[in-house]
Amino acid sequence: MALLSIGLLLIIAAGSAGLLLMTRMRLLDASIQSSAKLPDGERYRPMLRILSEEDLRFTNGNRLLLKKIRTRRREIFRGYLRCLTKDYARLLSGLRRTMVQSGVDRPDLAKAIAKNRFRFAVALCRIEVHLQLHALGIGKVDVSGLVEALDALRSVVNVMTPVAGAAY
Amino acid sequence: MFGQFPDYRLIFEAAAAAFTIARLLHFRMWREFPAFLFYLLSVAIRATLLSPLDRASGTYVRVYLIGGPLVCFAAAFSVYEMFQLIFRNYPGLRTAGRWALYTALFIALTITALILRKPWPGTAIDRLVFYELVLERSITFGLAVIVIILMIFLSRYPLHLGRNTYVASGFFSAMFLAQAVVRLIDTLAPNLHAGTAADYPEVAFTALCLLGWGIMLRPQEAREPLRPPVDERREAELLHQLEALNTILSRSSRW
Repeated sequence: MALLSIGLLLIIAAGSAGLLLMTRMRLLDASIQSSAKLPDGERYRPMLRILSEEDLRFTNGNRLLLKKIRTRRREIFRGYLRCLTKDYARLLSGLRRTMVQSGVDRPDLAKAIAKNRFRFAVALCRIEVHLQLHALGIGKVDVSGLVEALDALRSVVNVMTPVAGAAY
Repeated sequence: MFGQFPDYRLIFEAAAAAFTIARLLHFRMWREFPAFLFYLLSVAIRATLLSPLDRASGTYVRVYLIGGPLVCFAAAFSVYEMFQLIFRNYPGLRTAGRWALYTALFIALTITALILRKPWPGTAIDRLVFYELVLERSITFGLAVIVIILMIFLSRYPLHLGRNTYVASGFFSAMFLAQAVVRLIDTLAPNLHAGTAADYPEVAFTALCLLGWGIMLRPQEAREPLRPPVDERREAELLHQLEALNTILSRSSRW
């Protein structure tokens, strides 16, 4: 029993040290991300057509080829999603820097970030579910709405200014 | 009333707390951390009073029952003090920090409620000791969860936390978790309470944490965070871009 207690205490000590290291690294990462260059909207244009079925007519019904192409395109789409997530994280970091630098409480920004993050996480989960269904050959991709949203992002990105200097 | 030999583990704990108090006074930090100083004093005094007493005596039980909650509340105030200093330097994070605190409290209370059980069979004193252990366990576990979750929350933001804050958060979370785990063992296994199996390693662990804390304390560097002028246009742009990215994702998931 004493050995078990000592073992538990050692685990707790290691866990605390790990937590400290993790928070330190995340703080460094937060500083780097919030001063990084903001995303270019054009980079997501290939996402619009990558899962489209229209340009797969050349397969001529060859199911094996079709399956291979769809699998590869899903991988590429996931790659774009990862980039999108990183760019989203950079945008969030910019807003968090604003909160850090503020001399007054910013509940408005806190609320906006919380809502936005929740919606983003839900959207990512939905995309993952649809990608799994796509892998099973169920469902079709309609990217027409995506075109409008991407154009809206481009118009916003065009008036962007670079991020300000460090907070400290 | 007095034991045959003094409890050297408790003496070590008291000495470690006294060492950290000495370091705090040496660096003239008592004005900035009065709650932390009070916590260390309460730990040192309780350990000093308990060490010569026989564990089976009524005096030991009385000192334990009074000292335990006092130390817990002192710990709560020192954690409050630590985070109050952080949010005083970064007022923009107060609301978000409050939400993180509520989340931590919810988690701690839920887990505490789930592990509640009925008191041991025995005398009124046994039941008092049981309730005191449950109180200590709940408070120390809650404090550990609060420290951990608030540190994880703060790590998302590009801010500067002083070395003493890191040291405090590490040692606070380690000590409180250890105490919570040992109190849980004590409440689940009454034959182990006041025994050597769990309590003695915990006392030694707490003493080592306090000693390490005292060694790692450094004079507080005065650092005022930079406050550039508010750029509302920039904020609006960032929010708009976040919304646009979310819209892209939402549209791409509507297949």
